[in-house]
Amino acid sequence: MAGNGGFQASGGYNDRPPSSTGSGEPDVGVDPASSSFFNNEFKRHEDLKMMLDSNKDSQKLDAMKRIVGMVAKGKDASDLFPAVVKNVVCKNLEVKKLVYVYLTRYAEEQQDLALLSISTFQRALKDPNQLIRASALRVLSSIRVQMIAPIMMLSIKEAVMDMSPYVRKTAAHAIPKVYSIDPEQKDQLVEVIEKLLADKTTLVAGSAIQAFEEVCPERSDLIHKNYRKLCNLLVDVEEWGQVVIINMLTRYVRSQFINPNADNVGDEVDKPFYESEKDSNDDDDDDDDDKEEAKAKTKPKQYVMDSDHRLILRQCKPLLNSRNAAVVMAVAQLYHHCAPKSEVSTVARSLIRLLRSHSEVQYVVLSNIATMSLKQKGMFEPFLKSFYVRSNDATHIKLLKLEILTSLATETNIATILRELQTYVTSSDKEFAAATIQAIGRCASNISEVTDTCLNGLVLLMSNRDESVVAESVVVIKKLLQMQSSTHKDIIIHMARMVDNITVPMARASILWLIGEYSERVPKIAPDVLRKMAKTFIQEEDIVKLQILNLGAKLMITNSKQTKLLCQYVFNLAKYDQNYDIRDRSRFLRALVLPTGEKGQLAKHAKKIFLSTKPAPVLESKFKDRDQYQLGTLSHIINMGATGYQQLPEWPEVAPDPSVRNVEVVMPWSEKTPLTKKQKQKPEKSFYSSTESSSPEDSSDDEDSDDESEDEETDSDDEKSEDSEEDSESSDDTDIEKYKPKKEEKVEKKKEVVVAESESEEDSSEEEDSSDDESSTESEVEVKKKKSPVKKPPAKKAPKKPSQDLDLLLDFGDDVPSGGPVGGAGGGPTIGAGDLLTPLSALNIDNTSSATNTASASSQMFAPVQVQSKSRELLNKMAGDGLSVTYKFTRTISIFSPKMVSIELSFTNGSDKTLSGIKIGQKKIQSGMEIHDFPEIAALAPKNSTTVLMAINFNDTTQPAGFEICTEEKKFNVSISAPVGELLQPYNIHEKEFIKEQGKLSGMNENTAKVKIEEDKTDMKSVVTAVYRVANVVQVPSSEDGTYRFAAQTMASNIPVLTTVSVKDDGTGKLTVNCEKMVIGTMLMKDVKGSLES
Amino acid sequence: MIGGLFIYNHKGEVLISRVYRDDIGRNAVDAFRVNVIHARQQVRSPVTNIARTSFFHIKRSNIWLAAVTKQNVNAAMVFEFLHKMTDVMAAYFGKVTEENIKNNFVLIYEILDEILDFGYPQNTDTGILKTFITQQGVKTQSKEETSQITSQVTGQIGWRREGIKYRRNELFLDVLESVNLLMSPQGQVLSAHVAGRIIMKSYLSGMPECKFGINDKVLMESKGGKSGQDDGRGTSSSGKTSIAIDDCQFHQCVKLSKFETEHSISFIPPDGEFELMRYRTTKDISLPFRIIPLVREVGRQKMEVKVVVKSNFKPSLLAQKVEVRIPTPLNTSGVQVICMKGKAKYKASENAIVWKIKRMGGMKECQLSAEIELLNTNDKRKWTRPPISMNFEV
Repeated sequence: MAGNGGFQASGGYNDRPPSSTGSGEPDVGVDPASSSFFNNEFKRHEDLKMMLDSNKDSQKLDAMKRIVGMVAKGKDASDLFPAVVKNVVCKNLEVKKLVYVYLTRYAEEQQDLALLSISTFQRALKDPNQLIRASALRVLSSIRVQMIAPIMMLSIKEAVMDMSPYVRKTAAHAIPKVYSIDPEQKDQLVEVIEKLLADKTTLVAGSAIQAFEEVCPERSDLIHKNYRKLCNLLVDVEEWGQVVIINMLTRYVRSQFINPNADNVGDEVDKPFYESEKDSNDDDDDDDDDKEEAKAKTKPKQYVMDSDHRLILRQCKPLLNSRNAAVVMAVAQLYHHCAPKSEVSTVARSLIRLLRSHSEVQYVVLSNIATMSLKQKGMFEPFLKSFYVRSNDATHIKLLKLEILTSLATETNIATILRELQTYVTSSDKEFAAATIQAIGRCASNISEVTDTCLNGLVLLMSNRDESVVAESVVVIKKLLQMQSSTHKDIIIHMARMVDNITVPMARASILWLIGEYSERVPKIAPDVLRKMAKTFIQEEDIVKLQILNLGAKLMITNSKQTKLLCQYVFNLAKYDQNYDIRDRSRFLRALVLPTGEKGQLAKHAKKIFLSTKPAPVLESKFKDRDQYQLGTLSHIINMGATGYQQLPEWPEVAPDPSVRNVEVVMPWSEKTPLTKKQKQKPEKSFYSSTESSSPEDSSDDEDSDDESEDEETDSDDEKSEDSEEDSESSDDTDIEKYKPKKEEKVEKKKEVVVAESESEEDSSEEEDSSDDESSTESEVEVKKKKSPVKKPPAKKAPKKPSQDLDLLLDFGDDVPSGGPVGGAGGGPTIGAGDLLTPLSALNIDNTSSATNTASASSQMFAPVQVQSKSRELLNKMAGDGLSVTYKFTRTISIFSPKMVSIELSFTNGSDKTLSGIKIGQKKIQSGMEIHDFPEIAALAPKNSTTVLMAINFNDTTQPAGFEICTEEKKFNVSISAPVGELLQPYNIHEKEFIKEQGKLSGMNENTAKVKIEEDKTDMKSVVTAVYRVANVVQVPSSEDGTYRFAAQTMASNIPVLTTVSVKDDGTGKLTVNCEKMVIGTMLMKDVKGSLES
Repeated sequence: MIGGLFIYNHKGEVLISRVYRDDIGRNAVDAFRVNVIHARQQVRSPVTNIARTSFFHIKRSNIWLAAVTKQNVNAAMVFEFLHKMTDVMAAYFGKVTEENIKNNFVLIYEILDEILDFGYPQNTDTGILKTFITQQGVKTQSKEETSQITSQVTGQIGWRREGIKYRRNELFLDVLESVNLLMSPQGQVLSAHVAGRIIMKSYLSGMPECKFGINDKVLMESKGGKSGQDDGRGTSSSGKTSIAIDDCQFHQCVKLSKFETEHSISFIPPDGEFELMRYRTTKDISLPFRIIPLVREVGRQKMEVKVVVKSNFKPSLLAQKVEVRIPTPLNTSGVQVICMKGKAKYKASENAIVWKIKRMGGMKECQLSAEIELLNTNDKRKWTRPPISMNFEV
């Protein structure tokens, strides 16, 4: 089957240690047990099996350690497979991990046995511990057996909806694994990736992009919606993820925005100048092309950078301070490829810093700088001295530094560089010294002012003691002389004299070539040189022989009288040379220069053929052709396309529609209407795009909703049939179930957009924090709106409801992030950490295990989705001089500290001038409390509003936390006090544990009250909603009808708070709150009671 | 996307191999050994491309670490990862040696499992890894502990666990700086920069958030490039020069976005010792010392070295624990040292003369002269004269 070599552990190699050294074998020989090796081995395995079967964790662990040790040493432990697999169910985390290590090693070899273990993994996938779930998924996906690809697929789909971001991250990693063993799953995988991309947790982002890059890098349409989110999250993503995301975004930016350097010339420049500028501009070709195209279409207009393009550049900048060199490099290449020329230089400093890290990193960075410096000299010029070579640098580092120094040379700094180069020439490192001389040559050819100085310097070097230096300088001088039109007779004479001493063939050849080429300038010397050469012809190297022949032929043409005999002699010698190339050459030259019969047509033109002016060689950087590769990639380093290299796309001439990136910013709902379960949406007033940009969105959404309404109808049909089937569902149906929620959710979301927009039309000045009654009218509107396009008979609603709940349960993992504060809107780091502790882990697992389970669970529970605390006023518009502030509790875990209550503040500027510098001033809080400031709002334009996140640690009291909100001009004293229900966080617990805990908290710690609930509100949904309205708790799945249990713990001290509501049909009920802190218990009871009875 | 990871000893024997991807065959291990470790000439480029398979290697003492890939990876990332990998190993079992690697096979397997998933580098923070990869016996973790680990592995603040308590809340800051300079043979300073590191030792309870303010031009004494943050004396004489930090980098706990906007370093520190920040300055560096070496090669078997150290700082200051390390050629057979001040000794194991001076005032001068006897060697290569280094405290 497919997996040939996925996870071969070291065993294979240690089995057969390299024969060259053979030190592995003695190991076995020396083994005291070797005489009775097999016997012993057998016994030991028995003993291991016994240990594995024991019920003590410590023994199991010991056994597993020994087994893994065997694996590592390359001994075969495969006969223990069944015994080990049994221990997958072991509770001990440590044992489990070792079992996994074992499995990854042997599963491939024993596929049939491995298949046996798969059910164990499936069970482990439902373990309450997220670490176990994750590692089960990891191991499962590492088993490279194509047969189980569908199972992996299912597990991935489940894991993607897991509420632990860690598991979701692992799921993202599993995607490329599945793709590599079964590429036919691509479509399904893309679907999963799409879901993962929408994830708002920083932990997941990097891995999701990795999967995206591996499976479907061409689907940039998946990125559109997530682009801004990714940019905003970037700073908080873990470092390895950052690298991947930046690389992907570089490609994205290149395909979606227009070239910022396309018309960098400015607007007032008239055409001729533009043209000349263009010529002199040493942009690469595509830039020029772009310019031409731009010019063809319109007059050069001022380039305005897309705000999204700007966003990525801005968000990446802080990452330059990262301690991870790879991140810095990634940002540098992003700037190099995507930023306007003027801004690229910001990365220079950080790159220079990387030069101080490990030599390998240095190597990578230097080769990138070498390429960058070719394109933009100015960027690294201030840091010229950082590239000075140190005596203890490795040779390859030295060469790179030299390369950069040469590229950086300009008229102004050439003097310093040359002085530096002079020192290098004396280096004891031959290769480096030679490279230095070439570098001098390059400087000389690039900068005409110093050509003569360089030439003189090189001539001096020719008298150097070191032969290789001399040889190299001869070669370079040859090149330089060829470039120069002026005569350098003295140099040529000098070189001609050196023929006697120089032994390096390349240098000799160069001299001979020079003399031949310029023989007219040294008419007396040239024949003499030929004479000397003729004498030593036989001993010369091939390359020199060829040049002697050349010289002879050329002299024959210019000075046949003196050299004819010599020439003939040389040709004759060459005729019998061992090298066929030389024989051929001599034959060819003889026919041309010394024709035997009448002169042929070619021989007449011999002079033109031999002594035409040759084009001068161009001395250029070795890195010239490297810029075709994306910086920082392996392909760039090795200067050849590695597998999977993707060319950076050229900039498009016209930017693709920017509106595709617009995302409806989902604001937390101000009030939930139980019937429709709608989330209210903030009108298209996103953080980045101007308000007008929503117009194209409108139309498209309208269309969408039309389409979707049809979908919906079919969906509901499905549901009906499903409802009837619910009891006798086959396993296939689980699949359907899992797909459908997603679809339906989409439908709902789209419609919400419509609703939201219609609202904004009705009341444009309305803010999202509207008061209760307002929203209730809105909800009516919503209902109407929703009904009208769908044309669903109201009767249909009733049977539909349960299944809708069910959907939500299934989709919970997805819903929560969208319910949380949307970081994009706040501009601050986005938090999805909420999911971490979001309730229902136990339940969700039940759900996914089987559909019937789901159904029963849903009858017991009501998903605690979108119950949003209402927003409260913090600062009145009147009191705040136009600035009004409202706050609400987001009920997510604060990013700042888990002890803090996360609070979302929305600022609205009701005045007609811009308010700037809004921040928190002095704090007046009791000891033990803490306030985490929101990031300062730089400016708030009139009639605009913005939301920020802050967090307060109330230390489990309802005492108000007072602080000042400062604007540039004024300060306002405000205070926030949290109702007791907000000081809690959901706490996952099983029913049994709940009852056990409750038993501990009796007596003083128990508060009970009778409640009278209106009769129409005794159903589960209303009760649960009522509780959720006032307290951030989570429902515990209950086995008793009419009894609802809720668990939570306090934020600061993690004390459990248990709430029980039991309701009879007639509306009388009993409310019990158990909590160690009596104050919290009583207050919570009061609140819940109020809410239930309202 | 690293395809596989191999660890070799200096002989080229594979100590650990882990292949993550199908495209890397078993022969890759041998290919690297033959072409790099046993290569005839020294392979200098850390990236080797053999038959479209690329090997990234680093060498730590006698151990080779090689990452193999066929894909187009981010080169810097691979090297960064390899270095992190050695750091992690070093944190677990001390020096990365063949012996240690062999003894910690299981552990390395586990680490590799955790930090490299299908070739994607993962969380490489030793602090976190240590919480759940343990080798010491059976630790049955209580439920809270497990949940703590989980929240650490998966949470936002990975580097600190909750519920740390100290009776005394202390915080230590060490500033370590090194002056790097490049001089021409004529004694002219070509370039100099100061690279500083701020090491923090935090023993704080709970989840404290620390904040440092920085103004745009960090005010630091330009005196000799020493930290001098708490040394007020030099200010009056040297004039209040402010030094702009050229560039800096931070530990991952520092909120980079805050640094960008507010110019403040705010962070929740990990527990214990860590490197908070590194920085570099290049401007206004006046050198604290000047070392003038004179080397005279007397014949093939003898060499005379004379080193003069001059202190350039104010006479009122004292440099302590000055240590000058003068490298000697590899074929040194004996050294005779005479110095006016301090103690000097030839350490054959380090191939250097170590000269220690307990304290040295400003504007002083010390001299050391040594005669080095050399063995005859066939090696024609000239001695490269590696740089002299020195350490001191102020």
